[in-house]
Amino acid sequence: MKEKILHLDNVTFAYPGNTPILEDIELEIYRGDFFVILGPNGSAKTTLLKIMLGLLKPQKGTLKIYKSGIASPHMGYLPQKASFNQGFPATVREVLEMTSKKAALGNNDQYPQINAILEKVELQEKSNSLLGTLSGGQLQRVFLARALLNNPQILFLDEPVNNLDIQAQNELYKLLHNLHQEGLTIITVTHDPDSILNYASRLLYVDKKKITEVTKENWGVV
Amino acid sequence: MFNKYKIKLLLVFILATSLFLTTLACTLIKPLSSRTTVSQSDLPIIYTTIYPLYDFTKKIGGGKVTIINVTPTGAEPHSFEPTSKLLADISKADLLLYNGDGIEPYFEDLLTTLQGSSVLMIGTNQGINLIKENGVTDPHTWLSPPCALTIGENILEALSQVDPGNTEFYEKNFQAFQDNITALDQDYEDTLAQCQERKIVVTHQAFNYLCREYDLEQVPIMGFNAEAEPSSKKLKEICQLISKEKIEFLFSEALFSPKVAETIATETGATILPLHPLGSLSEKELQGGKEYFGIMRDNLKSLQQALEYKP
Amino acid sequence: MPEILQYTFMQKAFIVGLLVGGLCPSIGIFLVLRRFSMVGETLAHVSLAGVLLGILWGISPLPFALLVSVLVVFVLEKLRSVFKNYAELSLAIIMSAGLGLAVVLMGITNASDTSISGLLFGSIITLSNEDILMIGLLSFISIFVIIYYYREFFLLTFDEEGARLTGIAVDRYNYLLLILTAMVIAIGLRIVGALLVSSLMVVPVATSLLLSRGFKQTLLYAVIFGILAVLVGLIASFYLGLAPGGAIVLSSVILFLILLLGKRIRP
Repeated sequence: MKEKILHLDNVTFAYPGNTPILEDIELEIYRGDFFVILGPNGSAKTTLLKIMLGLLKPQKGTLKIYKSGIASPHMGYLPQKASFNQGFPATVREVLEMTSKKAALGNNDQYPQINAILEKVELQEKSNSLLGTLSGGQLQRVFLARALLNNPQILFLDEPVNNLDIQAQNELYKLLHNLHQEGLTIITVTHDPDSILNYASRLLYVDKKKITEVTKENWGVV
Repeated sequence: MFNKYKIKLLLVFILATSLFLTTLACTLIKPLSSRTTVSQSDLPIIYTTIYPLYDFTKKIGGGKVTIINVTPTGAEPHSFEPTSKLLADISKADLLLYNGDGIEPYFEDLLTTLQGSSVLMIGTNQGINLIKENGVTDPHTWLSPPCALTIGENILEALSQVDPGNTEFYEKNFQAFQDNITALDQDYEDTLAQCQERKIVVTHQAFNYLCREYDLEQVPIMGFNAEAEPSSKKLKEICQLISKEKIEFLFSEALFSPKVAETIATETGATILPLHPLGSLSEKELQGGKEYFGIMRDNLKSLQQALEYKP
Repeated sequence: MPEILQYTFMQKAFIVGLLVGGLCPSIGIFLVLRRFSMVGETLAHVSLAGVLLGILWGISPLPFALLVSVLVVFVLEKLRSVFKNYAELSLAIIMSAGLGLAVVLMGITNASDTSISGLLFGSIITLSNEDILMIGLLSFISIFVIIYYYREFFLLTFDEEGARLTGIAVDRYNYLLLILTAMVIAIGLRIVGALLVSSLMVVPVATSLLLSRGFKQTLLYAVIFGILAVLVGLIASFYLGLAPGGAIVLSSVILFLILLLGKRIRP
């Protein structure tokens, strides 16, 4: 029996002063989903993501997060554009250590966890490299590692492969796949359906204020 | 581009800024003037650039002239900048008495602006043997009583030129002035002749003429115009001099920050005494009735103490 | 003991100078990395106006200037949210207001040239014990705050949006950073003056960035370079008779150029 983890109940959303861009949205996310949100540019995909994250409040309807037996699900988030300056003088490890509250205070217990995450995103060798020396794909993996730091149960990604070349894209998708196999629920927005569909379990199409779930048979058409 | 709303906004802005600046200027700048009522407009109007000239002119001209000092009370003459309004007022006056040897940093501007206007401009240092150092003239002539007398003579002459009808009045005042100067000179001569030490450590180089007159030696911490703080190297040299010559006193000056003198005093154990260069007086000093002769006598007391007067 | 340390006024200058030399880059690093370098200059001019107002109204200048700067910080932040795309412009406006007011006040207060030059270029030889106490206190507070909130400042500077998403009260820390800047400027004003204090916050950081190390090392080197510049500057001012503020800043620039050259020679 699939465990419900997130429910959007009859949600309508409009930015202040504008007409609604999402109307009467009904959506259920289950634990273990690899959920892809698709749609043309400007179709409110990011807005939908932010509503699910709780960053935006819908005018009508509710967002329900289901607490399982363990704890309320932690959410990790990889936003579309990090307000980040490439020349920032910090090593990969420093970014992760600073983000993790305990490590920042010098608590050594966190280090194994940080090392484990670095392994997962395949950045162990680069852990002492400066951010400025990383490729686009490697940088994205740093942000992914950052999002994984507080043990999220759901990972939200907004256009994660926008500026990456094909090889970097595939590497990132493989990573996500591995994480998915380990039990992470993934929800990602993309405007270009490519090889990600090899790993996804569900597909949602957002357009003209409405969402449509596309069943697996029809994925080739999209 | 320019609609009614923007024009209104612009007008409000101009009004607000002018109001703000005027309030600042009015509440904060205090002019030094002998003008007591507005209806004295029939008296000759005289502008003086520095306090000593103002004081002497007041003593010699008495109530028959209106005198306004360019440098406001408490302002430091070396760094004062007159406004264009002030220059305009001066151009409409009868007489301008100036020093002209470097005490007025705006002197060049003064000459160019007032060229062609009706105001009579008289330099008060005429006839004084000026001291030059490294090609720069020292303007602090008034601190030597004999030189102050010459200044007074020049002022008398200027007043007679501008207001010949009252020449007798002015000459009578000048006589009193001269007597006071002679007495002051005598006191200085007698007292300083009996002093053991000859070196005085002063805040800025204002006392050349005084030293020349009575055979003293001036050691200045800062130059003629006291522009910048002395470097730590200069400070070290002065401290070394003070300890080497076993100097026990050094002088601070009214309008200058005493902090530099205090630093040296702390370092060397010397005591600070006041020595007033008379370039300008503060509001408090004026209200306390201070003027040239009184202050020169106060200076003599300080010098007496510092230079070990032994009658 | 070397001659330079035999004089109490130099001893005081060194104590305060070293504090300032280390403190300025510690805050400067966050300003530079957030592209806020001009904030230092802006607050310095505002502090100048604040000090002059304090002198005019007979209020103790240093705390008053600090108060004025802190008020301006709030105005700055408000303007920044209004003029989102023209943050630099709002800085320029406030800087102009501060400097304009300062110049007008200079004429009105009839402060002697010495006091004015002391404000503009620093005045290390006239440090009283009260000055040292106040500077020491403010420095201690500043250092404590920077260490305590080191993580938050790092995350804020690194990725403001990301920090916000992790629940960090970004706006509050923004304000704190700027208030700290105002404090450090008020302290540094004494040693290098209003015109140069911003340089002491920025140049040692620029030098340290040339070394391309991790964040902790960048901060450490920036502090070292700042302290070094102050040392060299004070020594030069004593033996060569140079204005200390200028000597300090020039030393930091020369250090920067040397490292830049070094980087070119062995890439």
